[in-house]
Amino acid sequence: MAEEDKELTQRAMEAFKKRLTRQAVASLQVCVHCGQCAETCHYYLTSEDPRMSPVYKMDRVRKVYKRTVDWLGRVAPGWVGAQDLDAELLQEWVELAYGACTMCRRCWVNCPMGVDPAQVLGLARGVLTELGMTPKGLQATVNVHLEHGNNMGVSEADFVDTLQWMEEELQAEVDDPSVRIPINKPHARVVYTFNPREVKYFPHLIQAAAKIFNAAGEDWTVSTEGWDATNYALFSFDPVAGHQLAKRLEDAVNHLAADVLVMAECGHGFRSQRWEGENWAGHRYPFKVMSFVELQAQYIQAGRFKLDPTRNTKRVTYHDPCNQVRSGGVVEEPRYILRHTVMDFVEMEPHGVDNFCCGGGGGMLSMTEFAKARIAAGKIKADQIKATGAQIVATSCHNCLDQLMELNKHYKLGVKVQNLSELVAAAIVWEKKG
Amino acid sequence: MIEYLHLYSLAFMLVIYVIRLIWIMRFRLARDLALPKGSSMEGAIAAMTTLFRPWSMETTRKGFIHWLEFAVFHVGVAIMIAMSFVISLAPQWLTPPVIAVVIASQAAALVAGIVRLVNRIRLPQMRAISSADDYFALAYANLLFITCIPATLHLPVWTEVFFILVAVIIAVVPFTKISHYIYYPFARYFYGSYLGRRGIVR
Repeated sequence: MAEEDKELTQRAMEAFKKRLTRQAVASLQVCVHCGQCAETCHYYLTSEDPRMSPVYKMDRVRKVYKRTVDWLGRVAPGWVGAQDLDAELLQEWVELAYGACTMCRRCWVNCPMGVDPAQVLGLARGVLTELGMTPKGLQATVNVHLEHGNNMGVSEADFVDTLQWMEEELQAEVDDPSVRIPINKPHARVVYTFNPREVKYFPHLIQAAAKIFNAAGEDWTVSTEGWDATNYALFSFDPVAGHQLAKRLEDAVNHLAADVLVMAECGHGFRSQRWEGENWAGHRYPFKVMSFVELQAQYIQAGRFKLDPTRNTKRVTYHDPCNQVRSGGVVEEPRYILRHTVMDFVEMEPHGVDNFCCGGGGGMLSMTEFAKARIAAGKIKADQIKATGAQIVATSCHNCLDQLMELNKHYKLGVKVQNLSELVAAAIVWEKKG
Repeated sequence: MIEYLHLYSLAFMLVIYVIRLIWIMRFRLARDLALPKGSSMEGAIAAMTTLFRPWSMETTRKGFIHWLEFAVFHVGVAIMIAMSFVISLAPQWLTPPVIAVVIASQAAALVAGIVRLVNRIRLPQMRAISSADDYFALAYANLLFITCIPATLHLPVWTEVFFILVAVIIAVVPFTKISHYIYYPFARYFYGSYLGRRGIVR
């Protein structure tokens, strides 16, 4: 083995062992190779390639675990399929952990043993990140976010401009000059975040959110210090970068002395800040973190505004973002919202915790080298949508939104893909304040 | 004397298991610090009982035959292990109805075991993930089901063969994939408490 490869594998092994938690070891030990997870994975189901089953992908990592940690694998590697880590296997990790798994965890919730392949493949992703082997597009997204405060390099002036523009648009829409998008308002109850794609390409979603907050009479604000809801370090399994990005929002909320941080409709962003941010930080936040989906459901439940579902007459189905439904606990809220805002809501099958990943998870949209496989794996989702006969696919995640739009085009579904907030905003019966 | 051989193996296995438990506890436990949305205990309890509720999980719901195979196989294993004690320590319990149940369970488990072994060899996706350890574990279990029947009937030679096979497997178990059952509660607990805490209970 070349000296360079030796050094690489040595570094990889150090990173690997450092990341072995008790949960990961339990998964690595308990898998009995029953193969049932194959039937749960959109990559396997669309390709029927044995290399695409979650257990096969996980086993590329398990081989190294067996060789270096497991008792029997250390003395009889051939017996248990153990293998030393080398440059070739590391490359295979890149292709399988990054290129063929969206970390959707559908296999986990359907594993009779409780094996979490996404956690094990995430471990591999983390090792690869430490070695500088993360796919360029994904790493670039993290780097831009670290450098500019948001993952699309939007300047503060452009951000504020867009907010003011949307404020004016909303005032015109509801014919009410009192509606506001408050910026950096101290002691507001709620600090709201955005996905930079909303600022760049979907500003009408900012308008929709502002309409909802104003209609609900919420005491809310937006911070220029930290507003990007995304955190792609979740996908590169880089806890240091993850913490740095999450800390921006934590600091922003603390500086404004707000009570609640509300994450935009962004699956991974919500999970990062709601569930992983405090783990990365090693302490609890002095404020509450919640999803905009949860907050909208609360507003509706509390009767904070009037809704007229007849404004949304088309058939709507809902796609569950994996990070919200299987890693974030937002399962019933979107359904509650849709039942109150649209006339014809129909579930796709399966749905909820069992819903399929659209193929856009795991940071897949930032890794263009895997685009072909991503679209192919999305066929399951396209078939699910087709079967509902829906004209609108609602979701609450930007990566899902982008992937669903691509699937719509590729598989000629003829649907419109919308965030929940758009449907809620459209159904609001505006009542002038004061 | 040979009837007690497996007891020595059992003692060895228990020692290794204790070491295994201490070993896994030495790995860092990743903690969830965020404010819970649900109950981790409720999630853990649900997770521990999932296997008894085949309708609760897509894989067992859609693959009910597979689940049945699993159930028959593992009931057969449990009865076979019980027989390794009963034959030598409480032979008076082996009444004709008990013997009939043992024979039926071992025969059914053998069928399930053979189906599993054949599928592992036949299906490309199963071959791709199988190691010698996987084939060995299934083949050996099938051998135990076969020998358990004549041993229960106290047929000469078969009883000795059964006890030797049991003794060997008990000693070997902590090192092979068969040790999965010691880690099963850990994996299910982690799974259930994670989902339960985040408000996802199935």
